[in-house]
Amino acid sequence: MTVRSVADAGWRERLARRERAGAVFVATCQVATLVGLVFLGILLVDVARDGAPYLRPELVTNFPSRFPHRAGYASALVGTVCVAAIMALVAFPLGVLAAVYLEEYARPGRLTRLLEVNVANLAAVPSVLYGLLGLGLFVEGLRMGKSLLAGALTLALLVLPLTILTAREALRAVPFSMREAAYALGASRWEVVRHHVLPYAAPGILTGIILALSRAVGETAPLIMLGALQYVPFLPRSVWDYFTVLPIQIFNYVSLPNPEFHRLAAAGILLLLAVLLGLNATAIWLRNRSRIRW
Amino acid sequence: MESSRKARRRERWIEVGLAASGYLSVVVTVAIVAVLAYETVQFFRLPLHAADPRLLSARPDLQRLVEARPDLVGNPWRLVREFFTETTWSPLFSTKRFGVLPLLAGTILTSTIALAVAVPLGLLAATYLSEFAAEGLRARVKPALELLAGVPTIVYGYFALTFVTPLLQDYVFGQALAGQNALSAGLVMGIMILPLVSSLSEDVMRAVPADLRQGAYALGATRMEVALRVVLPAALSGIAAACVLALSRAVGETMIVALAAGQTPNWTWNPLETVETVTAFIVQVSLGDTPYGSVEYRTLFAVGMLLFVMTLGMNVVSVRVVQRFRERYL
Repeated sequence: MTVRSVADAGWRERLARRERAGAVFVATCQVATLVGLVFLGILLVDVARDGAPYLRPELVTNFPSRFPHRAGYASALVGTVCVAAIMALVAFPLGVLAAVYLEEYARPGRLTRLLEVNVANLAAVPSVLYGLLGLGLFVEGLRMGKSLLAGALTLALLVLPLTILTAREALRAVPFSMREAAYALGASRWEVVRHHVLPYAAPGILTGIILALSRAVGETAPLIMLGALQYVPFLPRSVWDYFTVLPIQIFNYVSLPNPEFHRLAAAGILLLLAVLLGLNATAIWLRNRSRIRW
Repeated sequence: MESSRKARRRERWIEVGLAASGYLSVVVTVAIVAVLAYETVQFFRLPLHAADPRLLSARPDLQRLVEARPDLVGNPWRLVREFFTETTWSPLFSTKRFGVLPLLAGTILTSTIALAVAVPLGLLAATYLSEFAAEGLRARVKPALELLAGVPTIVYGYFALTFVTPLLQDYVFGQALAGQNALSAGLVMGIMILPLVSSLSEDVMRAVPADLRQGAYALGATRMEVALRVVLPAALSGIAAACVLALSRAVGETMIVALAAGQTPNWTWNPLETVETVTAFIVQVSLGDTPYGSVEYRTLFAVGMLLFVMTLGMNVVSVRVVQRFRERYL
């Protein structure tokens, strides 16, 4: 057996080759990282260029129309706001309370484990299946029809697992010493949760809620089953009315063959992205404003 | 004494209320399974309904079914076999064939293309962010990549249909590429699930203990060798879980494929052709007028059940893989 010296010329050459391979590899990795970002950039520029001519006040004040230059997103915008508001009223209190139960009350055991697995699996169910659930349960089962309320409740079920997961993260981040200090002063379990844990977890919970809200606002597939109505030339007056939302109105316009409608759809996408950007900026602002270092 | 008992009772009620909202998620799961299972059973019982003269006289959709497919009447097992083995899907047309394989093929084709984009790109990006990028750069690039996951899918659908497909037609495939095709839908879907692969994989790779890297450096390995031969294998099970999760997302994705891949069932593996996925079929039926309980309404839930079983299976697999990973490294 021969032992080669480190100064062996062949070894140096091989090392140089290995280093070169490393440089090529890093460059490849950098390019791969860039692909996603460049794609996002092209997408935004393309949508902005397509939609720019239709960015005018009529976009938000006009109702859908057969003529692209007269059509707008008034009913869709109002529909989106109404659906999101009702959904928020239903889903977020329930989601936060469920998270409090799982994080602060539930005793570790089989049943709790089952609950956790169940929430995780629910969060991964494709959204289109929530549409089928809404159709079978709310529209037909409870005879709500294809109404605003059925749509909002369906979306509430859709964002519930997401809310529970993010709220639990926020609750878990509150240090245990906070709870112990409150218990030491004689607080009951609910008092500890209500007066100490929840206030400290509030920014995190709120961030999760806003993320869930933006998920719901961008959701199309489940609502097609519930509000497939192509043409809604009025504002909803009660929760039993037909409705439409931004993504669905966009989908309708994209499905039409006339390319003018595609531009109108692009303008609607800009509107939708603006709403989402506003929501997410709020979430980031909330997170930064109240970040507590333990 | 009295007040403390009252307080205790209040605590008890609060706990009950909290538990109720906790178990609501179980109710949702049960509801999903129940609705899908009930309607699926009703779908496979259609041949029996069609054999019932009282039902038949009141239901034009059943009459059309009997007219097109007299062989199915009274024969549910034939429908079951046809559903899983035959290659024509036309419940919305007068021929009424119920072989679900073309929809399944469309789903598999688009998802495979998406994975072929997302897995290599996502892994390379994760490797770069975890092993090579400076901390400041990583802190900025990772959230930027995650923005991709926050873009509504309808936007991707629009982009695939009005930008990617014309681009590919003009510069690569010419008219061989259909206006709606599996390729553009799959490519764009791949970008959509890219952050799922890259973020999760990056988390796992960073969790690999530093000792392993230092040991390899001490033996004279270069940074690439450490990344590829030490960190990557150590993180492999977590990466596999991320990929399975990404696949499940691709299989359940709806709007991109409904817009860009098409709404014509097609038994093909050619990515340049129009295909229809399971999810796109659900959208197609929902866009039309489907009276409650009709033949079309029930096909909706039968293919929905198929989708549910597929995605649930993948999620269970990925959770299993992650659990094994945790036992070994944390």
